[in-house]
Amino acid sequence: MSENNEYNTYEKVVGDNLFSDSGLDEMQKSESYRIGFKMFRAMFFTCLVIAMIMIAAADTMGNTVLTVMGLILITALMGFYTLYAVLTAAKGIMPDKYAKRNANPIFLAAICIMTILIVCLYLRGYLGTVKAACLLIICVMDIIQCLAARHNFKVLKKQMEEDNNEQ
Amino acid sequence: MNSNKKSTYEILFGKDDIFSDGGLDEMQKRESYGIAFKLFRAMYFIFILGGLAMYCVGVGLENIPLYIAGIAVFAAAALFEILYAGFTSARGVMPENFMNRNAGKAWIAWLLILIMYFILYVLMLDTDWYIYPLWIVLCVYRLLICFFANRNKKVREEMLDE
Repeated sequence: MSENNEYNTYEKVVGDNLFSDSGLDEMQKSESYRIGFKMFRAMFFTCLVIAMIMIAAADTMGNTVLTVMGLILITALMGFYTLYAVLTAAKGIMPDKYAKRNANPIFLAAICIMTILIVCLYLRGYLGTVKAACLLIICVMDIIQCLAARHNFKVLKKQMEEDNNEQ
Repeated sequence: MNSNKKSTYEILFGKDDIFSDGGLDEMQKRESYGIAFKLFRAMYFIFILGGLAMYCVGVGLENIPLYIAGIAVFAAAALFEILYAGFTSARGVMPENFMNRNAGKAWIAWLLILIMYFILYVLMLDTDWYIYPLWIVLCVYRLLICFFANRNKKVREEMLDE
């Protein structure tokens, strides 16, 4: 029900386009979702490479506007990556190995220490603004992903408890 | 075939990546594909708009690197829409209304616009050259979408015949 409402909202906002799936049956939807998943991960990696090249070129040329745009692009990309992690964690379907690695408290502590280190290096003047901003964006998103991975295990635990209660 | 493709991805990026779906069952796969599909279309719209914004700012400030980056982002987003259209049309799962609107002779109009832009681009090469590349990318992308809509129609007809 909620899914139907979501798609209606999408079609009301964007109109009838290539990505609308209201006229498709379940089999066709599964197929187009699978294609969408592959496109999502390919687009993520492609745009990440473009953003990296943009930031590196902008830093070399001293082009401030391009640097800002590159940073916005990389933030948007990391935002989508993190959103995918959070949404999959909310349903308890995060890949097992990835969730295990990120839920590890040592991993979370290491990222927190790295974040503090980056801030210190920036304040001391050892790191440039662009490099520090890039690294900080990646670290903050990593921290959110670690928290999402922990949430994933909580959801899985709840689901198992519910299954046990039903049995 | 499918599992071969997945293993190629896992060879490239490792098994413990967030996008690897090797360890998921069918229900979980469908759920995560649904999430990725929604994020893909959101990402597509944001990057198309972002690319256009970068292009406009680049033209306004006469900042050539920004202008090139804007076209690159726009072209990347358009490329992924074309790829999505290509893959859905190969299986005949393109949305029907979209297919009906783009199939048929719609490609002729886009071809004429493309030729017009190309001629204008060559004529204006010395003055307003920076306006046209984006429109040429746009026309080529619309032409390909029309081609895939026609292919989707053929695939559906074949499926109905079978």
